[in-house]
Amino acid sequence: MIFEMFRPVHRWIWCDAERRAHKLLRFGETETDGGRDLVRASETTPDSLLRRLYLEHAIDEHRHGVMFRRRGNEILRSLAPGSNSSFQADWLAPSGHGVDDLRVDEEPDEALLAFLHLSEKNAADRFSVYRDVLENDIPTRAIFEEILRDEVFHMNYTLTQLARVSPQRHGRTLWYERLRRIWKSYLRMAAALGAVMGGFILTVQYFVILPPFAWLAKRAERRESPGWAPVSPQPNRPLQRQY
Amino acid sequence: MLKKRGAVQRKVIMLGSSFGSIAELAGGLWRSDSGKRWLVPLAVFLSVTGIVLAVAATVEALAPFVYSIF
Amino acid sequence: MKILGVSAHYHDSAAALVIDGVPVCAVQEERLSRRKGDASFPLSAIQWCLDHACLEPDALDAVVYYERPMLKFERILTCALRAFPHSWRAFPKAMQNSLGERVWVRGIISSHLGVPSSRILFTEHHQSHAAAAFLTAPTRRAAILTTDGVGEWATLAVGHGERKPDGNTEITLLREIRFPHSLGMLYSTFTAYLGFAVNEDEYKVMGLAGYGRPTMVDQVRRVIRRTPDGAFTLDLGYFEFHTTTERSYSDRFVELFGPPRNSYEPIDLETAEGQRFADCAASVQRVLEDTLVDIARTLHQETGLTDLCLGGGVALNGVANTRILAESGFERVFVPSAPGDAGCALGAALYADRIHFHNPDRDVPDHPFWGPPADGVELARLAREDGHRFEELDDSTLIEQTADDLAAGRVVGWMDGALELGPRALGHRSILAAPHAVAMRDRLNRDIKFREEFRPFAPAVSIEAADRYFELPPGGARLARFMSGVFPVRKEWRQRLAAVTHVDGTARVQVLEHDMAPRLHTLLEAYGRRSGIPVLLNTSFNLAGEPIVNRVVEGYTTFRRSGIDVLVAGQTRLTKRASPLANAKEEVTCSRSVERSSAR
Repeated sequence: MIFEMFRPVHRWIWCDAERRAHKLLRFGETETDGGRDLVRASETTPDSLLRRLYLEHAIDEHRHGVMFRRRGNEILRSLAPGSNSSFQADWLAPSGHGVDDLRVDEEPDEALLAFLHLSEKNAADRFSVYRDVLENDIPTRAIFEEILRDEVFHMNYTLTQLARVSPQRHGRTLWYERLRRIWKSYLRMAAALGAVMGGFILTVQYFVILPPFAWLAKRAERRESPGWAPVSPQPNRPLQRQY
Repeated sequence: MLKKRGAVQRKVIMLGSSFGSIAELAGGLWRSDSGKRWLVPLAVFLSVTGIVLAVAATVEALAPFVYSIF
Repeated sequence: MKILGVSAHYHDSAAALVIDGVPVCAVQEERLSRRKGDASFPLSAIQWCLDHACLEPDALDAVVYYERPMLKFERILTCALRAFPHSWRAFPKAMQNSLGERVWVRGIISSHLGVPSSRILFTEHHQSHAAAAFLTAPTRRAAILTTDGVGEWATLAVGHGERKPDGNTEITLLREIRFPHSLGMLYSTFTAYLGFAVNEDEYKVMGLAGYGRPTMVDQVRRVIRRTPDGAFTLDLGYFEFHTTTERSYSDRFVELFGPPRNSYEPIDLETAEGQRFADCAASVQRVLEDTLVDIARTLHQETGLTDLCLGGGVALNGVANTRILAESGFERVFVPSAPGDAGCALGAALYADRIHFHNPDRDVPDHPFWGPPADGVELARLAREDGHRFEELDDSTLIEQTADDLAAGRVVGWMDGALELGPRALGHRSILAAPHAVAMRDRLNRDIKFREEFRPFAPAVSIEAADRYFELPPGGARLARFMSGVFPVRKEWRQRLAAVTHVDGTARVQVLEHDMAPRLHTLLEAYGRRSGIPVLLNTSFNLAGEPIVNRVVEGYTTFRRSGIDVLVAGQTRLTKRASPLANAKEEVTCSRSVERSSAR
């Protein structure tokens, strides 16, 4: 629904050929990464039916990755040399659904199925908007069409398998997974905000505290001669020391 | 079999040893024949800052607030 | 005495266990976590090593980390100060990376393993490389040359080692070249410039160099200059790796060599632009080789020793290793199977054992197989559950059948015994194929490895037949033991070994002794009886962007996702029912019908 509201924004993002190419290439990487995680899931599940389905899903993701990359490269090749789109707007038009914030080998099947179901649903919503705004680029639109067909299969199998492996609690598992996604979104935001604040503090320190030390460091560097430096004998460097 | 410890417990153990590590850094710089004694105050100051960064990395939910101690 | 070695936090983390002076096991974290180049603290690897030896962490006498984190931190801080104010963007990131976790290694080890601080030791990065190279090599005295991107301060170190008759061991590093002057960083900068991934794709630059001519050597020599004492310095005006985290090369570098390659664009060697990239690769490769040969030659003259042990990531450059063997004066050159940081886990543990604890010297088994074993029974179970045709055969029948498969042009996934330590598949986790036709190389690149067409595949040959097909100089077979050298394919065989012969007529051959991998050796002979040439194409058992497979289930999923025709693990042989493409479609149809029926 949210993606629908931003349809004009997506139309603007996708109208630029170079931006489109880079986006497709990035989508290709995300799909391939997601495929690898699904392979991992297929290797770790004790359920043989799920192993087959995860593997099939992984093969689909790999194929999607190849399609995205191929199309992205086609568009890039068709552009005039030197063309450059400076703004990629990655956060406005996110890619597919890599399973990158989930340690697949540590998750029980029901949690993974719920996660995959919601991720596929989310990706399908986004991809259908992207498909709709690509009416002037028929080959790219066709790729999204094809991928959307696969996403329907992925959404269905994850839901039915969730009902199979967790017949009593699958509804609760889905809700739990929805809440976990919100919590994870908060954690991502908190970590990003923390990183920004940490970066800001360190940048302030850099300009306020470092200058005299930088002067001393540069002076010391000038005294160093280029080339070989002797290594002090081993007895002077006991292994208990971290320095 | 490795004992499973919670993130907070591990961080407490890690921080417990960090002061010894900072002392090693300072001592190493002081003894170093490369003449870097002048770097000791900065290295120690940044390492202490680093302890805060390490705490923030552990308790990601509180990360934005940990920096308020500055 | 039980010593655990650990390398972590930069690239390719690993753990290794040494008991009573002999390695018992070692494994890279990526092989267990399935994340290529996994640099995280190697908990899974440590766990596996302890389980394998049935040890509790309390039983460890020492845990040795492969470098000194505080010395490294001092280097990072000093470099940021020297580059002030240009380092303002890099400084917060560098501090967050270092101080968030990497400098607190003693605490990390304590918190995960519960061992007291007094049992945690630290070697220097290049000491670890030196120990990994010297203490695993079958030599009593050798010169040592280690070179990589950077450790703490050192980027290249030379010295010598001796295993004395009284059981004592000495490793002496004489001198070093310090950051930012680094052959590894130079090569990595060109790797980035050529659109490949740093710390991962350097071997692609070496492969690409074969297609180029070293027409830009003069330009490269402006970037790296020799000093009067025989070392070198980088002209830092051409680089940015020491001031930013975004880019390795500067605008001046681009002015000198032209626009960098877009990593998404395939290299088309038919175009002038593609040829420029190949020439660029050939030029930096030439300068790297010249510099290393020169340093090695001086080391040979200085030490008077006949053996040289090479360590550090740059020792993965087989072309340079071969020139060192040919031109430096050393008679034998030893490169371990894991000369990079993963091998440092083993090196650090061995260094502590021999040098710190003064334990008597012990011979280290001369093979790379220190990881988890492959279990053929597991493959039979998977095949049974998934309804695939499989056979469980006795050893000789299995090998004869596999030789038949290879002779019929089938591609075989081969899993046998313990996993290799290091980036090369040396016969226990390999994809094998007939080495004769270019079409096979193209098929492997297209349907199995999903990778660039210009990259060559390596051959494996038995030591008895190696000289017949490859021009191996004295000492060449040793260098080729772990695929560490590149040698000419004899002219008369190039056409019949087209899938493994690079465009310049060379091959990164593995020369196999029976004792190292008996089943593969027997397979080579069986294949030789059929084809007349006991040589096989041997490439690592993985797909592009993935680590080499470890467990059988990983081999199985790789087999299912690629054009591999036959999978062999232990005594079990699994085949595909139809052509790879048809099979993939059949699988999809089958699974979707399974899904639909279960949904009803």
